[in-house]
Amino acid sequence: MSNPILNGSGLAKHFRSGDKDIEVLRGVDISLAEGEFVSIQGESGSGKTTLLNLLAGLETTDAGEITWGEHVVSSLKINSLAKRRRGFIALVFQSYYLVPEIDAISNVGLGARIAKIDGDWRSRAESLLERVGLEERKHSLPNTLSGGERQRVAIARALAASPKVVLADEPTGNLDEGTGDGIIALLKDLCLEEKVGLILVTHNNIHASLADTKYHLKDGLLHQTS
Amino acid sequence: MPWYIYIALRHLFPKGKRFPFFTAMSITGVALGVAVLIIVPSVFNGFQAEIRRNLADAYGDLRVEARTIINNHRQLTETVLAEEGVKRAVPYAHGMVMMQYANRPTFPLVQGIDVSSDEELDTVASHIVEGDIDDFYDDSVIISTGIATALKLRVGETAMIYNQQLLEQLTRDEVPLPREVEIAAIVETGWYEVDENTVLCTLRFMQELYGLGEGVHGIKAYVESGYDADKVANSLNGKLGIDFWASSWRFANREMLAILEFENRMMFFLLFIILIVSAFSIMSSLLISVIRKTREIGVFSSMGATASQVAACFCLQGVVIGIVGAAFGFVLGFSLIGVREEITSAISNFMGVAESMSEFYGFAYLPIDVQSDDLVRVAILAIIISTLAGIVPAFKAALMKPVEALRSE
Ligand SMILES: Nc1ncnc2c1ncn2[C@@H]1O[C@H](COP(=O)(O)OP(=O)(O)OP(=O)(O)O)[C@@H](O)[C@H]1O
Ligand SMILES: [Mg+2]
Repeated sequence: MSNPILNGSGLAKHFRSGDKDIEVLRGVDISLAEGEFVSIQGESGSGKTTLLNLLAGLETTDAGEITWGEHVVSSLKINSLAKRRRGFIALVFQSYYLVPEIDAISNVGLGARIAKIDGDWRSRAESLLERVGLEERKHSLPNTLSGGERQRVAIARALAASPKVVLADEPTGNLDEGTGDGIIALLKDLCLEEKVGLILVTHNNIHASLADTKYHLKDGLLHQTS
Repeated sequence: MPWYIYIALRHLFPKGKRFPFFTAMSITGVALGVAVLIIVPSVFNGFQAEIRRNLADAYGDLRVEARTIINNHRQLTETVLAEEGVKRAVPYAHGMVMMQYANRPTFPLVQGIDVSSDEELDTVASHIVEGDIDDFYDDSVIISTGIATALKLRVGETAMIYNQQLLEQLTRDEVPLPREVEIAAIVETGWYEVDENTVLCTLRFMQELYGLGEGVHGIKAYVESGYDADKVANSLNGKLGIDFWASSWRFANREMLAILEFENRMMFFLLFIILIVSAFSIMSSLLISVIRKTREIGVFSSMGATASQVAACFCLQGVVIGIVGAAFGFVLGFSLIGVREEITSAISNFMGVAESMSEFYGFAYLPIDVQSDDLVRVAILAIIISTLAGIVPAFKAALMKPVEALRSE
């Protein structure tokens, strides 16, 4: 396999809640190759979201090292990471988090604009919306779209930033089974087409089994499953 | 357009959204503040300009006076006229007399007018509401509307004038004989103090009444436009010697003018507080917006937005509210100024005070003086204050940690 595009080794994270320490991660190793599809499962509260946040550079690690491409980023300040995230990492959330004041195409375009992707953001957004099957709804506001449609807009927005890695945290958590299956298939295909690495956190065994590599997070450690 | 400007505008004016309530409220706050800051100083300035004009009109631009009666006034007038910037100079004499008509007495101030000066006559003629300046000669007088009303005097009728010399005659057991004068015209200046109680006669007649001989009380001078009455008076004082002194209308009325100036500053300061109040309303509505959009801010950072871009996004909303609010404020302010007559007459009718305005302020209409540097000052202030109001929410947004923002419910 080629060099990992994203790598985390020995990642540890604890939280203080009141006077209790919660050891959420205790030495997690994970690596993602270019265009690879990795799934992570685990019980609620096992630390899956925490792990994604560490990998995305949204939260500091207690111990361990994270590299994006060739760069070690775990030693950098959170604020200085914002610019590095551009064109490298994009996130997809369970609750979509679209900007409610602007229409679908503008939401998608925002991904390209914030990441400062060269070229016309509008045509890029348009072709991505077409790719996720929503070219008819490009001028619809988020609150007029169904949950599945919103998530497709969010996926298009993530890819509009031309990332190397997409981190998706339970993207089908709010959707019914059929819609969820469609979303995962779309996400997988798009990432494959664009050679984008994908880490998918999911509770759904079938979705997890579509991945090249499957992990299970338990007791603060990541285990590979077959 | 950078994305954060775009988002700032969309936050304020959402696409396809009904009425952007928060935005409208904030803009209304600024607009009202700006409108008040335009209207009130303009009315104030208008009043004050009117008062200044009347003060200067009544006094002349400057006067040369002496401790005693001035006998060599021709020579003095020449000296004053020779001064650079002096347009014309005329002698005057003034004093109080008793005027009687049909057993009604009144005690007007009499001003002696130099009828050899066409400008003096023209000035008087311009205020005549009844009668003719051509009937004005040594045995006739011009009265103000206040006296005409008080004595029920008409043009062409004859009144009696008792002067101080008659009193002296009485003490010598002589029989005092009042002077009979014909009313040549009635004048109205719009300046209450003058209109209430003034009689104009010829300088010669005044000299007779007061037993001045050839003497006068002083020289009234007018300066050419572009010259400062204060400076001309100063320079004259250097040449007149110790028996005479020149003072400008501004110097003569300095207490009054200082009060006006002080009023102006206090008023602007007090009105300024209105803008501060609207700044707080902007700040609170932007803070609410930041809190409502906490997760959105987290998403922006996760997409690669820097803290300063996030800050700019919210700060700009304050700027836009300031600009739009100031624009609406200008429109509102000038519209209200445009219909001020209707507003004041409506208020007068409602409260039954139609007459009192001219009594208290000396003029019957609402004067307006809009000063362009005031306008610029108001606009800049409104925008600066709204921007400052946006800075607090902007900092709050920028300092948000992305994970916490995303985790917030
Ligand atoms: N900021 C925080 N302060 C205190 N505790 C936290 C914080 N963030 C996460 N935790 C705790 O860390 C643990 C892991 O949380 P995390 O959100 O990563 O779980 P998860 O695996 O994503 O769960 P779910 O499947 O329900 O989303 C939980 O026990 C949570 O309470
Ligand atoms: Mg989670």
